[in-house]
Amino acid sequence: MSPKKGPVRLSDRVYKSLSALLGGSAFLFLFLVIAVLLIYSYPSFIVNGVNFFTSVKWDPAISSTVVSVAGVKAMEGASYGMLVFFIGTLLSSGLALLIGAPLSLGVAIFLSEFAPARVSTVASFFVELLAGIPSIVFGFWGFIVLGPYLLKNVEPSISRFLGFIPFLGGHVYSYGLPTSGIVLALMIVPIIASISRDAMSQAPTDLREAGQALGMTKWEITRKVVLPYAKTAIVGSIVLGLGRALGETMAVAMVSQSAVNIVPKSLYYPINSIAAFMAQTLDSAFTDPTSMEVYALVELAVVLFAITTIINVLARLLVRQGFITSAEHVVQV
Amino acid sequence: MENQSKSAGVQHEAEETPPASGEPIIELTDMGAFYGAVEVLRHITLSILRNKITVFMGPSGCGKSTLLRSINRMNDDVRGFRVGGRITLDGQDVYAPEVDPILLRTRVGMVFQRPNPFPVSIYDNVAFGPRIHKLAKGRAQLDDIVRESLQKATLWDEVKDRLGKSAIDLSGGQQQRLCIARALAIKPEVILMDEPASALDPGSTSKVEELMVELKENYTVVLVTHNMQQAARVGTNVAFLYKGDLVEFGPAADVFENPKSPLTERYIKGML
Repeated sequence: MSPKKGPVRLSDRVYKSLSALLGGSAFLFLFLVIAVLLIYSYPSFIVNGVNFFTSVKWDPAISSTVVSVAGVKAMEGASYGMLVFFIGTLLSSGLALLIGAPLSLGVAIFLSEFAPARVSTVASFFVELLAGIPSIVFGFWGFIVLGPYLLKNVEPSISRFLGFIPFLGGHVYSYGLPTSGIVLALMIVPIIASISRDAMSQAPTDLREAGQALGMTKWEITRKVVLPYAKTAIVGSIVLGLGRALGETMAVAMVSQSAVNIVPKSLYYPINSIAAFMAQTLDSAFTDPTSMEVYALVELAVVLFAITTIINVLARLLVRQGFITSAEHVVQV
Repeated sequence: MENQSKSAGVQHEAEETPPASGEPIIELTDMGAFYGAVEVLRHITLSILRNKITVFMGPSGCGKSTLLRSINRMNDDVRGFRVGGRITLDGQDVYAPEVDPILLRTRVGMVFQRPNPFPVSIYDNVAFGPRIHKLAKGRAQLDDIVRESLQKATLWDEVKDRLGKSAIDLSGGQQQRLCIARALAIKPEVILMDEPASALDPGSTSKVEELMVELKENYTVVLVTHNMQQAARVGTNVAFLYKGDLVEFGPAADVFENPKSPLTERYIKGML
């Protein structure tokens, strides 16, 4: 007898196709986003070519004359270079990670390993509350309080006493870069801290007790048992936080001091990030009769998208390839 | 012997004359235990003899695991947990303020109910303790410790060709013997075993039991079990605990064949 399948209930079939449809929609949206990005940035790729990736100068040359380059209309003498924004994005997000990741891990370790249950619950609530603060509020704080304070009281001292370290010396021009870094760091702390804490508190009691019974201190148990157990989630949370920092628009737009055509040579320069610059410029870009500035802005968006994608893929490889797992040893007898 | 020199917090008898087998190594005097206001053990007085297997048996909830975990202070971090009376190791009160629980646990190792190897290689599992406590000078010495520990745990022949493989892929019984090897690697004097065979199949159980008997040549073993046959097979002295009281304590043969207390008798007959 050949095996037969029983009849499938209609409700199950509807449920199955509906969930397949909704599940598939994620791919559809991703595809549409990529398609729009590519279609709208294509003219910029054609006209700006390599210059886009190597130039510091962003000048729409709005009052010059319209010319045709490779069949695409553009303003004569216009230059669209992404370097200022690309470097600004990497620097501010890198700084945010440098400050935010250790801080977050400290918070997570305290909450999951050391804080008494009651303290941990309350403190975790506040950490998560931090995630709910709108970025414009962070921006205002950075603009009104942190930035001026850094400029007046902190940056001159760093330059004087730590000036021998590359990038930390020189004249103090602006609070843009450190303020962006710190504001972004505060914004990513709740993400990294709460995910890491959850993962760490799930480390099995079994393994903790095994460590305890071997005469390990609390710190050794944290370092050798809990952190290795939670490492995948921790790396994931850091990538998530980095993604947030890279794409953050409003707060950076408010505190970066909006650098154009200038690459930071020290910590004390104004910067600009891809996302912030796009938000600042989009309005005026539509006054370009050739729309080339809009296309160039979309190309910036492609670059930002590429950065976040590459970081995501790298993080996954890092975890899967075992660069972050403990090394195995083979004994020779 | 290296771990003895550094266990300053837990004083030793004179080193020159090795302590004789059968002498008390751990003594409990009117020991009690509380979780908050709940008294889970009361008036426990007994001696655990060197190089013997002392068994704590009793039905679930009788306090036998709490008793075991009080010896190496595993419940220190449990909120509201307190120990009354005295527990001494070589005459030193293990709850005295000058005793470092970390050093205490290097002298009193522990094996748990469920095998709990770390998710790393077999080698790294055994090497974990020696690395933490810096017991090996160099790789060769560490290799020796790992090999000896696995040999003592009768696991060496089964794993010597795959020491770099994950410990998680071993069978349950092998994992438990690995955990025993891991405990042995820091050269403890006492090994506490909390129902070490209750999660294992009969074949693995008898291997672990044989291992316990071998271990008492060099170590003092304290075993918690609810398995009476096991207690009778391996135990030198058996303590029967019921609802926090020490009902009966004596040589295994006496407890099983000639119980003094009617409670013990009913437990042995499966009527409790």
